[in-house]
Amino acid sequence: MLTNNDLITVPQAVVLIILTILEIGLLILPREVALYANSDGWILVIIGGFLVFIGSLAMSTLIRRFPGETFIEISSKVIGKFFAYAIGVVLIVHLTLATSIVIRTFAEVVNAFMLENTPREFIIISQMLLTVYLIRHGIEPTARIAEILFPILIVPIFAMYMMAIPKADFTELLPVFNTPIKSMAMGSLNTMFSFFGIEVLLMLGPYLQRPDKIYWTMFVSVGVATLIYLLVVIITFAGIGVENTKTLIWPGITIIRMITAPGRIFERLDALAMALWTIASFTTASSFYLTGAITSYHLTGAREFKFFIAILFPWIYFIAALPPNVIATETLIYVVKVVSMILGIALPFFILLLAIILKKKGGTA
Amino acid sequence: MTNIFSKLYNNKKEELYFERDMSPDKSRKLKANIDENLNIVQEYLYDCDDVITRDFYMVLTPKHKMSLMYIDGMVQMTTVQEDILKPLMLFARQFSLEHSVGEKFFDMVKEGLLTAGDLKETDNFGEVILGILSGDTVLFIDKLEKALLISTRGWEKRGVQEPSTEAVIRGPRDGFTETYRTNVALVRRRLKDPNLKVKTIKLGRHTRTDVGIMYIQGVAKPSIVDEILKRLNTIDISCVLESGYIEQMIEGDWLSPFPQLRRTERPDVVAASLVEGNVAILCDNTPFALLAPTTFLSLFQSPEDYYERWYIVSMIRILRFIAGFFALTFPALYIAMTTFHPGMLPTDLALSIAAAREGVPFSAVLESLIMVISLEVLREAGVRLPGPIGQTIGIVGGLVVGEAAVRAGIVSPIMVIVVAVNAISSFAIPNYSVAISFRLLTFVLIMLASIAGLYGIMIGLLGLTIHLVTLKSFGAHYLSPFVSFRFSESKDSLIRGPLPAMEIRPGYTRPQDLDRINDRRHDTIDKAGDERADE
Repeated sequence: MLTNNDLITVPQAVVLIILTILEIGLLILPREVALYANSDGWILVIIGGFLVFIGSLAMSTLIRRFPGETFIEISSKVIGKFFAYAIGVVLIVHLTLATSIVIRTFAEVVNAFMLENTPREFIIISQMLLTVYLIRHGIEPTARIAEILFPILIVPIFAMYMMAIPKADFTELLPVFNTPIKSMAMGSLNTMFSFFGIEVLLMLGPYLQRPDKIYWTMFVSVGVATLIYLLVVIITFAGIGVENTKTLIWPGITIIRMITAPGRIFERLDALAMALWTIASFTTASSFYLTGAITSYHLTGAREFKFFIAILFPWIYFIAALPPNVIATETLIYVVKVVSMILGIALPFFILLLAIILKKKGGTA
Repeated sequence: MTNIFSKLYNNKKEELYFERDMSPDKSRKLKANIDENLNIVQEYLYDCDDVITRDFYMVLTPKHKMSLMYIDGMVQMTTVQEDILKPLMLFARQFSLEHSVGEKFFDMVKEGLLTAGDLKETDNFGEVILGILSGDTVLFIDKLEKALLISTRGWEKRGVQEPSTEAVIRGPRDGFTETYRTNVALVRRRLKDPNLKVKTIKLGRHTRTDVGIMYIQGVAKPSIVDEILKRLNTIDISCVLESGYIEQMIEGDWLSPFPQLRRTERPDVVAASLVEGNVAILCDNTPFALLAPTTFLSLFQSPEDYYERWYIVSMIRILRFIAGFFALTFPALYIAMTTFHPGMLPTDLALSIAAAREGVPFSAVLESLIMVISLEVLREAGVRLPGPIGQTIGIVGGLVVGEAAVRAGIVSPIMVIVVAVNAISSFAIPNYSVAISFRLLTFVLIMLASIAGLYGIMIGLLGLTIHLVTLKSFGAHYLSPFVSFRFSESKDSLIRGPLPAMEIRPGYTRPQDLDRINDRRHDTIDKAGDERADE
């Protein structure tokens, strides 16, 4: 049984999804949109966010159509047990990978900006232990943590990017609409990948207190995430220039390096930003890890979900330690992002379509 | 006498007269013969020299033997003499009595002769012995299988004084004393409400300490009251000398560094909390009452917060949280900044720290450990010593030794500032229990900061947050109102809103009556939320 198996409220679900989405995207999104659309990059963010919301409607409708049922149950009803279990295994592998790359990226960023000499393994292990300490309490405490950490994370990040405004040159955002439609389309698709993480809602569907408000939940969370991405992209473009953004590996952090706090309390803010980054990475990793354990729990029908936390632990560590360098990590991130969008948007759409055709419906509970 | 002794202590059958909690057997009934009764009481209270037996005759013809038993020093002698002995021995002889024997005679003594204020009948030895030990006086009457327990409790006690741990500038000056009944009365005087209930139980096998819970019916949630009573009744320890024993026995998570019950010396705090839906646990022999459920936030509050105007209080509350943050992290931040992230500091400051640290033989970690530990030693030394010497210790330790250590080049002057700010910040936290656990956690954070700098501090703080978020005090979230946040509750959180705007009672106690101000608008506010939290 899940301990603390309370349902999560609408605000909790919103912040949980936002904090799951925001992490790696904040680091690399400015570079990606700059590569695709130069100064039009910020438009890509808006289009991408809109597309993600449209795409998530399938998932939301599916959860509303089968209230209180797990994704495994829904898919075994619609496409049969075998395929459902296959999807379940894919989901678990995907979520394990996602946890690993989040933690791995974090370790790399910490090594680059904060603790140059600390062994990466130490950072990975300590971050994983912290995550395990949280998620062994269950779903509702994880959502509660997200609720508490959200303002602690968002307000300082917002303040930091605001501090860059005096140095920013907003003419970098011009010219507007100068990109061919084709690269706009490709860029938007690629931007959608930065919203990876929405698939956790698929697994948390049965734990929502108000499944009837799921559209609103999704709208607010994707909307807020889009706004934050938009802010980061605009400030990064204006702060360090579009061309420079293309050459940096983590432009979202690099810009913070250039900021000096007013009143000169801090000479450089990058270590402070990294401290906040710990929160962002921690919340993202814990929701992926938790979802992975929950999926395993649904798949096997076991009594205790904590057991799977222990089972996944060595795999996550192994995968996180596997990539030899940053380039390999980037490749892995790309794979995870694509799979995430397939699982979060295409798969629910497909299952929903089949469910409508086969006239399968959940109970009213 | 040896016969009785062997009966009591060597014969297994006779030992059963004592129950497991050391109280005498209540099923052992009084006998009709007064001498036999006195002998049995003597068996129990053998070798207790402070027990006094006073035999007398009420009327000389027919001779009616009576006997008083009490403990010297625990009874008010004026009551015993004026209200028991005088009526029975003097007044009764001045006119002829209607009844001289039996049930009616007993009632006449009880209702017509004794002038003591509070008395009750008893027919078993359990109550008799316990009564004597609690300071009551027992009156045995010949040829009756009953005795009278007359309340004569009164002993040397400290008067109502200003509490020393929770001083206020504005607010009442009376604090709890060591006497349970006085403490209950101090609260009752503030709440003239028939719904204020007091339930007393006795705890501790040897001490038989009076422990009472107080709550307002119709405000406090019954399940919380039941839960507290249930947990209190499971306590089976040899002694309860202070409410700290109870606190540690009934708190949910004893691995937590944070107290899950709030303790206070002030009756006004208890009264205010009762109105907010808390349950108070009062314990005899200690001026410290316990309040449950408790939140992290309430440990940062002072009673004065509600007496002063809200702007000032809001500012002070925010200052307290800043102080709490520094009390927790300041030495750790210093280590992280100087050792791992010197780039964060402004260049001038970094240079002056480096210049100050020149010649200091120890690393920043060791330096701060030395300073923080010596400060803890100073604090402990200052607490134990009598007042004037304690202050001297502060001056000698803080100023003389600190100054000398800096001059000798053992520690840097900046370190002295860091530790002093850290210590002063921790004293700004109103609740001593929290302040002390913060100082303990400072060491953990120093360790983490020395391993991984700012990242280590974040790991520590996040771990602490996880612990606090998952901690519950009698079903209430420890971090409420920040979890399952509701705007109306933010008026009494980091800031304190103006009193007219604080329309509802805090939600963490799940009060049955939510209105603080008489206004029925909030009657049905989130009933659904209530049910959810109950499960």
